[in-house]
Amino acid sequence: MTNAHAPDRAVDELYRIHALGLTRLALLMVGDQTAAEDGWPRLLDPRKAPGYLRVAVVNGCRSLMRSRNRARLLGVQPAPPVWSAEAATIAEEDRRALLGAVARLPRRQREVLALRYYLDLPEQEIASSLRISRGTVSSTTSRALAALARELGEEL
Amino acid sequence: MKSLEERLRDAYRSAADTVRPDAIRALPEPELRSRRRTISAEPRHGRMFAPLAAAAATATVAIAASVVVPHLTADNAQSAGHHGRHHPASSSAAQSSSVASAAGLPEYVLENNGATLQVVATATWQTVGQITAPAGQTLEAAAGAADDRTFVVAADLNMQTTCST
Repeated sequence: MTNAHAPDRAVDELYRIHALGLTRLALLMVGDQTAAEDGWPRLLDPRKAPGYLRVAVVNGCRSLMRSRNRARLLGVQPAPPVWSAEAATIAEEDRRALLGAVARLPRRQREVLALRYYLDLPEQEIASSLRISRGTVSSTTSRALAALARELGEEL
Repeated sequence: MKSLEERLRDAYRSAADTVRPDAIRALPEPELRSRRRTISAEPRHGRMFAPLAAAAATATVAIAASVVVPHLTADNAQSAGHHGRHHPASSSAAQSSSVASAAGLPEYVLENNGATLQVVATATWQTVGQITAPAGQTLEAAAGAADDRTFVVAADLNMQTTCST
């Protein structure tokens, strides 16, 4: 009896600790909360570490974005992203503009920026999460920031 | 003026804060999780990502929309194994599955808005996508597959009915 529900309790505890942060990470990648909640993996193995959850969320967001891109070609419109004026969830226009510019970056650049500037992960952990080299993380970050500056008409 | 990196951090925090802690769905009770494991025949790692497919229910409709069967009427679709004809005048058509039934509600339902079908997540009652009929066509019927993630939508075109799965 004492161990019958131990794995479930472990899952509950992992979920309690990480669900909010990882849902927010997914929101930054896909743009709306409903999809972000669905990007949360149904964790059934409590032995897996938070790093696994992070990778799963990133992969889930990739899948979701691929599906949405295909769906758009056939007229299916997702909910407006959280940074859009239509969503009206972020008051400051410059923040909306900045996040809108981020949304137009290539996928890997968006992922690196979110992991670095939202989660504050070190380069090595970002590399591990995205299964790329540390050098690629560094160069991708630089290119992403340069692209943002160009789009916003600023100098780095 | 703040650096671009600082402003990026601020913008991320601002967007992230729109997800309130009380908006996070609770995990199902352990008993229900066990029932889901028993019901599902999918491989374990596949089930972990099942919600991702669920979120993209509308995409599923669209992806499979390349399968167009001319002259297939909605009635034919029903007799071919689909169910739950979706009349344009009806308010909603719930598509349930065995797993969803265990939880009491399907995870996603279609709601008819007249010109479009809205895909609504029953957990939040938020619209997660919409399906618009191709130009010159009218949405005629809809039904849900047993996995609760695939919807079949039929559109009518000039005396023909196309069926998208």
